[in-house]
Amino acid sequence: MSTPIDALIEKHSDQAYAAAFRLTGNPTDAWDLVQESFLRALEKSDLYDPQFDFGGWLYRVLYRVYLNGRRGRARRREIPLEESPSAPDESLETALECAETQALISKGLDALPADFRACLVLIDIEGRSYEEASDILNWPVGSVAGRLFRARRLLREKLLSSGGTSYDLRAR
Amino acid sequence: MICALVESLLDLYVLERLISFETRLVASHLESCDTCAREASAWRQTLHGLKSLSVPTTPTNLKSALKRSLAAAVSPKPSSHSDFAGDWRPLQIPSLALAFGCMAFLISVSASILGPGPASQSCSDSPSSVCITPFASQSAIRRNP
Repeated sequence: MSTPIDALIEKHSDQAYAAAFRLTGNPTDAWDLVQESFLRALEKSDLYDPQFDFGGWLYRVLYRVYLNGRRGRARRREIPLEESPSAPDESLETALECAETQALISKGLDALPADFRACLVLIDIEGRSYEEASDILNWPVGSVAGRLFRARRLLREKLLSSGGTSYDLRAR
Repeated sequence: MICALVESLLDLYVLERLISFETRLVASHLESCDTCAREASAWRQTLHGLKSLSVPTTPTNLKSALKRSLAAAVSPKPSSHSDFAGDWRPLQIPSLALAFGCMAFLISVSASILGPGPASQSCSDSPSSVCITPFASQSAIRRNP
């Protein structure tokens, strides 16, 4: 028999796992983060306002759990983000270049602090607005913009210092 | 100088989030500066790469594991103690602390009310005794003759 909780899991776990994977960078941590977020959402269910979307609320809980869990703790990185499958009409050279770029970016993301990474994931990867990111992270818009500014530059520094062969990423 | 200014705007230029004046400034500089043009290209590639980062499909057993763990979390846990013990034990520590606090308060109040007692009661007529009167000055410490 399906319970309301089962229905919520069926509906929102895929999106939660995708966000968790982007944040943590590996499947094991993403699994743990999703599980912890659902449990926390269940514990704090009295704070949930049913007139709002549960997915959005779960998203906030997930980011809060991620930031709290990562604060002051050394991050573990086991498996880098998977490379994107290339489009069928791309040439092999382009596909390899794309894969190399993605591997470099994944490596650079791994080295970012948790709050910087959260801003990058929300705005640059998921394409959310500053206001949405501010709402999810519960930070002022200015703080989000400042962190995003520093996160992008830190990521660029990591890419420049990494050992990739892509000329464009290492412009100077 | 102009390169440093343009470099700080390149990510926003690539994302087309600059106002028109800034956009024109950056675009005209990029036409004349190869270094900044390459940097802009690198920013374009980085931001495009971020957007195209893929996520693996959700593990098939994630949902079932979530359902199990959440079901375990919502189900009441069996208690090894009796209902009575389970009810009153959490209250034990605060009650004891309250009782101890009340007792300490009563002792301090009674001590301040009773005080050390009348000075005459502590003085003896024997020549070797020392009497200290609380209402006198420093010279109140006197020896009985």
